[in-house]
Amino acid sequence: MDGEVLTQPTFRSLGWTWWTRRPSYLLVFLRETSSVFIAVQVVLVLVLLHKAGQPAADYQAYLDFLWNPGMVVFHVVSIAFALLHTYTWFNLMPQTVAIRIRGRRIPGLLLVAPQFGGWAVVTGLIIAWVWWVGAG
Amino acid sequence: MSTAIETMVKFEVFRYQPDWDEPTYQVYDVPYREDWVVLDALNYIKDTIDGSLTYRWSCRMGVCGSCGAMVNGYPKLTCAAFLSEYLPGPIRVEPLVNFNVERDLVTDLEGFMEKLESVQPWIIREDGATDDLKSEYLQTPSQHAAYQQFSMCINCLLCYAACPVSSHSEEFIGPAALALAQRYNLDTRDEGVEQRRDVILKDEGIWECSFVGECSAVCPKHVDPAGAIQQAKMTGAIDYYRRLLMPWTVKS
Amino acid sequence: MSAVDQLQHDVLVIGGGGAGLRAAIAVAQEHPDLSIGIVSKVYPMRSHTVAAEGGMAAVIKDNDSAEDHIYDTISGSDWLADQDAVEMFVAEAPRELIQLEHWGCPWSREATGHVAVRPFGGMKLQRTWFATDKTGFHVLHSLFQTCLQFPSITRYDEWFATKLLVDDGRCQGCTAIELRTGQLRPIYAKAVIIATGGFGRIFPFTTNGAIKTGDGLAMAYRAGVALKDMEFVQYHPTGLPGTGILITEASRGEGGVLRNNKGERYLADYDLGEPLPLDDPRHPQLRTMELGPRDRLSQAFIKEQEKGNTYSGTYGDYVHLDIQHLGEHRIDTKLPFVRELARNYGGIDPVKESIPVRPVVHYMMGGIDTDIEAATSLPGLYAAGECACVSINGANRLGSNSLTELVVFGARAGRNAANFAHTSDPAAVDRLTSQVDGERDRIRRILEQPSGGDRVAELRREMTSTMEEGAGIYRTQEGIEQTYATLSDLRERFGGVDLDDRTNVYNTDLISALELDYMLDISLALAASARDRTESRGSHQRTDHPERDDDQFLKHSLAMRGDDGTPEVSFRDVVITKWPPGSRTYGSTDQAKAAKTES
Repeated sequence: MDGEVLTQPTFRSLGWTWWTRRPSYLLVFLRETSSVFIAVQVVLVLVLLHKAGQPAADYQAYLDFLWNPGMVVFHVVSIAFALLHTYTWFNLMPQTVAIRIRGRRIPGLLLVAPQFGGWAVVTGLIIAWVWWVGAG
Repeated sequence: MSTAIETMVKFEVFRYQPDWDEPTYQVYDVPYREDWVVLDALNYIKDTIDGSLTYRWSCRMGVCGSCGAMVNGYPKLTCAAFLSEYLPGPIRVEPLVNFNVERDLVTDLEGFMEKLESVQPWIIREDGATDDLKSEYLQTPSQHAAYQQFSMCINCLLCYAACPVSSHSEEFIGPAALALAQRYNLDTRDEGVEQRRDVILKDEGIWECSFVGECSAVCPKHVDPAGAIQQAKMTGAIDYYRRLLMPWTVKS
Repeated sequence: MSAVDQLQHDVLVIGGGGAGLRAAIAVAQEHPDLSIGIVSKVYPMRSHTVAAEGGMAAVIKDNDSAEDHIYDTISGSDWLADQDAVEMFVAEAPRELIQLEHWGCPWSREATGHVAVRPFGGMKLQRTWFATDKTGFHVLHSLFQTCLQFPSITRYDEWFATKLLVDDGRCQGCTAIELRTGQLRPIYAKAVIIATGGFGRIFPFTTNGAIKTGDGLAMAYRAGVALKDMEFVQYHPTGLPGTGILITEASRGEGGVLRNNKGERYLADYDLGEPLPLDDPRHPQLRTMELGPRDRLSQAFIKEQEKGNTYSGTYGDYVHLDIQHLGEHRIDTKLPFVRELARNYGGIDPVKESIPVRPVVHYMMGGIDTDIEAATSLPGLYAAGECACVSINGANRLGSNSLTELVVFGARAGRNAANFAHTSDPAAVDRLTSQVDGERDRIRRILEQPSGGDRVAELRREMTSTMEEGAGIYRTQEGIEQTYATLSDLRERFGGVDLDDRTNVYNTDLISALELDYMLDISLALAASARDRTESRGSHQRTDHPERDDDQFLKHSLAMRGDDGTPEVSFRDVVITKWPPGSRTYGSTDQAKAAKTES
């Protein structure tokens, strides 16, 4: 009751392997990791643009580099990550933006659907443009 | 209760005392009752097997926020975790992670209390001194609805136990306290947005959140702290650019 | 311990619930020069105020009047309330509720932006302010968060107060155990406010949380202060069988009805008026049927049980509370917590089924004897909230008056304690040392008791069970005497109580033992008061004395702790100002008005 004060708490955390603890953490981990792949992809495209202004041989060499099997695998993985990031990010929008009409939050679908719609339209336009350039 | 052979459920309960080098898990056999929650089992253990088992509880109806613990690895209110969901067992009960453990299931809340106080969770009025208390401040149902969800937090701290950021940054103000800051910022009766700005926007505030979203998933009161933080980020970002591009529109 | 380490304040509040926090803020706001301590055995936001659901009464609407609120309260109390106290209470209530509003309490609103009110039992008009059906939760958190802004308030969270320090006929602080270290320390003060809540845990089946063990009452009782009207125990008519979890009266205020196992709205047989069809726009009628007072509704359940008109289940008999006709939208907007609780703990969805309910111990009208200023007979000691008895509740409290009582009397206790502290000398620390040492010895004896005695849980089980048997809804001389004898025996056996835990840090086994010690004292006081009140009034129903007896018992009972530790009961007249005792008439507002005019 009146002796020496004894407290020695022990700390418990999720640890550095937290993302392996449950599927929802893993999904977040993948979503955040996807940024690395997307960043590398952006660098590759910027280099490509730069090479386009260089002599044709340089440009061709870079294209050959991009077509090596390792880079193809990288791009497949990257596109999967990009799709995951886009999909999960769009779905998080209702939590991020609270729009109220007459005191009621508008349904999440009204925020999510236009994004997917816009994504589809832009993708369609790009495909059409590529097709048009290719055909022309 | 029937006298037939009872179904028993095995409990593995985290035990720790300050003079121990290491925590241990103690195993208890508890009779299974369909309508029992984990808290009932803990009370059964304390009352009939081992009075030294230490944990917090009071209301046993999910509103006082005392009885949070990790049940099979997930943060839960033990008064709302039904044994039937964990059959056939064993059921492992541990203190909430991301907190110091004082003893058994009892964690140290002092850090949280400081964070709570730091966001100034009270109504701030420029006219504070002129309160005449003759009539209420008006607030329409839709103005009330704008913050109501964020006012439902019972401070049970399950969200901190679910948050990987809290796990690695002791200073992170964290889900419950930031949601409460947003609750007051959205309240039409409050005029304290500017006063709370620095705390919310500092490094340990909203921008440390990486939107894992588990805080909202485990919240027993559907407060959605992740949403509150992202909304605060959105407001903060818009505010930043407004200050940058249209400084004349910002009150100093 | 050096003087530097000494814990000393001007005003010390014991209890961090609604009344304690309101008191502390009152001191901090009006006397910023005074230092305030709040001792609470749980973090304040865990206090049981958090579990109050339905709402808080105050006259705010144009169609209402103070006179009506006063009359409802007095008739609800079966004329045992002190009328001067009720008049003051009703007059100060609106200002206190507006104050809570200004502190951020998220009251439910009307379209105009004004606060909304709802009907409640025993009230003639709609005057219950509410924050959906989590009013207590919102009130507690608003008060707690508001109190964080005052630098003059020091909190002792998870400190368990054990004894009042009294010297020179004046209360000068308390001793308390810091749970984290197990240290017992004195906290000195010029004035002390007890706000430790009720003691429903002396009964086995209660809406009350685990912490409601009446520690504050026992401390005052042991310091020589009387416990008043202890025999009046409120059974709430609608608790969930098994757990005792509260289903708020607001569910009936919104239009919910009670039915027996024949599907009948049985309250019609108990002098509570005529039922209206559920689709009648006048349903629910105020002061009628399901909106009658709690004592009468709980008593009606027992009569139905005797007739065999109740359902029987694993956890005893029950009736049905039906709110299905309100529809999902109204239930989700006005009674979301009821739906959550019924689903989780009753296993049914009230949108589609009736909720099984039975009467359950909910509130204690009795408590520490205080006057209208929240002062006790011991100078420097104040009390407010459920632990106190002013009395505005008399023999039966009306729903939604108790949260209001917390803030009205919490604020008064704070102001008066501050004034007292301003004119008082600091605590006589040197003279109090021996009391502190004595208290340390008492607790060490419990902690170091040799093995072989009864366990805390076993003694507690026997105590709650004898309370239910002898001091339940209907009582007899024989039953109460038996309960008193059993309690006296338990009191003896407590001397040998055997703890499993003999360590210091967070020793909840020791705390449970100390709580049990306090509960045994106040249970004895309750039993003695119930034994000596040989009449039936409000919640105190004696089958051997079925009538109200104003000649002998228009009086408060006062239980004092005798030298041998047993209670001695005396009586004091009720204060009557304008409303002489009349008959309690429920049934329709017209009838009530008639009764009022007659009186």
